[in-house]
Amino acid sequence: MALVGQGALILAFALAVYATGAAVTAGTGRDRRFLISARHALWAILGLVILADVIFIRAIFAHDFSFTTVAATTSRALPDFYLFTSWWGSQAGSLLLWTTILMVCTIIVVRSTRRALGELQPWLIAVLGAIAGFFLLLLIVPASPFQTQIAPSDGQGLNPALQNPYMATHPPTLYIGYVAIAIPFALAMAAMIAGRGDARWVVASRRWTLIAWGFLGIGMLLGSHWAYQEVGWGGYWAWDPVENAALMPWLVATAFLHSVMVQERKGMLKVWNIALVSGAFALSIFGTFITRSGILSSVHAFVSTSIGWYFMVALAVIIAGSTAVILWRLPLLRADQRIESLVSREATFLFNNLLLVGIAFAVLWGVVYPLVTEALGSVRETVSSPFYEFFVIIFGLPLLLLMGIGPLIAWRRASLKQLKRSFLWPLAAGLITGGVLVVVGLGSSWPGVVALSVCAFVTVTILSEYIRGAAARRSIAGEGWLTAVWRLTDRNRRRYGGYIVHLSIVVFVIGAVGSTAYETREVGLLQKGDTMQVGAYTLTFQGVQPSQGPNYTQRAAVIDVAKGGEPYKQMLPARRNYPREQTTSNEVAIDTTLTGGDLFLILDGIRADGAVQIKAFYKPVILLLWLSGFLFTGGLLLCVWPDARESRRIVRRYAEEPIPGEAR
Amino acid sequence: MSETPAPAPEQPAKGFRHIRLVIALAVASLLGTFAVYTAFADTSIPVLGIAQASTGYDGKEVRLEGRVTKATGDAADPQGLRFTVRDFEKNTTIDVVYRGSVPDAFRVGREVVIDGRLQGATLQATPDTLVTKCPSKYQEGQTTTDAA
Amino acid sequence: MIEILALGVLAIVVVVAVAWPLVRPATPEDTLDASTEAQRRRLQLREDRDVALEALKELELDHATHHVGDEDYRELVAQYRARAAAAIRALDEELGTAPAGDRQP
Repeated sequence: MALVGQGALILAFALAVYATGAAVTAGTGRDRRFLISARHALWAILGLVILADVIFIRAIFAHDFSFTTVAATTSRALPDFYLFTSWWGSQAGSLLLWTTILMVCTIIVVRSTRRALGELQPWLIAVLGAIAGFFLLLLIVPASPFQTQIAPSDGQGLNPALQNPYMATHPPTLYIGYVAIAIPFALAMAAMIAGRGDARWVVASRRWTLIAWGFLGIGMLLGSHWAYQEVGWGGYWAWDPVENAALMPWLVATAFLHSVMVQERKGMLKVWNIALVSGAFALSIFGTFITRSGILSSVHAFVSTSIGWYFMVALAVIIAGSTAVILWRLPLLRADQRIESLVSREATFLFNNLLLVGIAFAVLWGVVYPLVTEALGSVRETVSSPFYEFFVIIFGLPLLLLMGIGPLIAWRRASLKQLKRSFLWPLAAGLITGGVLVVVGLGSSWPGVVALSVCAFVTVTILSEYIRGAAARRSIAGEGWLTAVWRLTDRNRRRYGGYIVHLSIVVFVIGAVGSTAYETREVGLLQKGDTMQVGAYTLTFQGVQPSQGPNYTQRAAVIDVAKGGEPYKQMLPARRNYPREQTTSNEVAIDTTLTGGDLFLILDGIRADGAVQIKAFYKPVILLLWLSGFLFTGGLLLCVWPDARESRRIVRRYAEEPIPGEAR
Repeated sequence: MSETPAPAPEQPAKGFRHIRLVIALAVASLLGTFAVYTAFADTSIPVLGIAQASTGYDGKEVRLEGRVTKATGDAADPQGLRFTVRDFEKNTTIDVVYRGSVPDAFRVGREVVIDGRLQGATLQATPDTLVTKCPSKYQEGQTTTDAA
Repeated sequence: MIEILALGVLAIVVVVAVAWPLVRPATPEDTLDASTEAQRRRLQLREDRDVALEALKELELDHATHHVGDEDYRELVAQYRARAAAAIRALDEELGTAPAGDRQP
């Protein structure tokens, strides 16, 4: 069966090359037959890739260890759930998933833009076909899922660090984000090559950008929560190259989401937007390169050094190609209007963009620094958390502030008198918060105090936006408050959905600041009956409790926790031994308190005499970090949700002008 | 549209004259912050193989990459976990004294990355910076780390 | 052996599906039209018009929520209306001069 799988992928690659060529022929020769042929080729590629998926997954579940990849990442004892997730637990398997997602997205966008963007179809298919061809090439040569060997009696099993429910959600979510960002890029390139200077591609790509950006954000948050629990260290973000790999395109996509709003309203920043969307896609490929090439030491690394060259070539082609296209079509991209006032929403979006790109650049610099220093002939040097944290604070705090200022300022030009009125309550909230924090004794971390004060400022701004908007509706339509808020949000989804997303960022920042700047950490060596103190909690060690799992044995430290003298609960930080995989893992014990803080226990070691080494943390309000994800998703759904009114308007606008495409 | 007062035609050149200047200043200050920080804040450390590290880095903070050849003690003890790392190619070794969390995959024969300060032939490791890679038969697999 | 056979069948099916549209000779209907310069101009004008109209709507909301004062509001309303009017006028001119088949009835 491996032969069929490999053959299917080779066939798919040939089809991708053909599709690209046929689409280009259709575009230059204006021949519809080639366009239809190219579309058929896309469908065929999808079918072949799905066939490859089926063969691969079947081999996993049948424990067919003649497949090298299956033997390397599964074992007979592995539970079914993790057998499925091992699909993306390997370099080759995850690339197969990536390609599948890419083909699904490709088919969807090609079909959905057939009428609306018919003129762009040839170029859209050409770009997406080329991208698909690249990944199929990877699947054939350096990272084949269908490499075979003499089957051993059992596989090596899945790394215990990956045996976590998050293995089912974190990678696929990230992959959807990484892949989907190719669609706006392809639409942009297609529009440029077709010579269309209007904003049609922007309108068509908006949902794709939101979806990609949303999945990247949620994917990162899921990964954070996983890292927080699983890997045995009390940290949800370590500025690891692979983590940064997802952050960089996300930041650039955030900038893009804002700057397209300026383009839509003022016909400005056209070149900047094309550059941003190309940059986001390039960073997505670069991120994949960092993750998979093994060129940088990382907690997450898949390691396979030959694959790095392919990505470097692809990156060069993407950067050179998009630059060439932009330069070629520069005349099309002249701005229609100008920024009129520094005190305008366009200006705040501009500064927001500069800051976001600034952070992305700083992160990029940190990531490539080891490569640059080595390439310049001297010793390889690396930077760590303090570098990244500096820039996140220096660029991030003004960004946070802008999140509060932006909504208060109108498009084009804000009235200063109105501004002073609008600023009053939010500013008061910020200053009072800052004052209270210092007075209460939490002034130890100045970035923390500033960040939390700005969070208060932004929160009051957003609330006031909702209140004012609802009040305006009430005075016109006489609705009740709830109805007014609902209708307001419904009719201005992007604006008010965006405010909810901003609120989620605020919640995230509060959780992040609270849990890092105000964390308590204690280490103790406990014999049976000994106690240790962490913040308001008293931990008493009661002994070691052994147990058995499907593919592991476990020893847990029984810890009785008391709060303020009163018994609170029992926690069981543990260590597991996986005999088949010949490794151990640390299972932390986390208790989330009512105030949103976490009591976090790690069993660092069990001594021969039965004593245990316990590392304990108390992290205030860290729950907000995770809850922000729900708020983020809610706001995102609001923004993304199909709006019948808006769709009709757009359809009408473009239907008035019978832009050619093909009716079929 | 019929009842609008005589509409003033839009002057296309109207705009905030100094906007280009402001943007340039903003970009300059971002880059300036960047340049000043990287020039003056001593935040990077060299990443070295064992052979490289054995000369010229005494007293300096470094990150070492090597293979564990022997290990005694417990990272939880006051004396710490004491292990020896050897260069991947040459026979040079450095002793490491480490306290803190030990990654699950750590054992003799594994590749590790460790931060610390070199004192003679010994690395005084920074706590919780030990990263271990677990090799597999067909390709290098996942790495695990313990860093708080 | 059976695997190679299966692959062969697959390849044939795929090649047929992909080559089928090319088998018949090209007809005039197969020509993919590109948008003309005039169409693109008109599209740009429609976008200008819609952007101005949406800006008016947003201005109403901004005024009702006190982001924009009365003076600024009056000035901006006049500007946006002028812009919309100009776009519509230009569009009418364009449509007036466009060949009959190009226009939407």
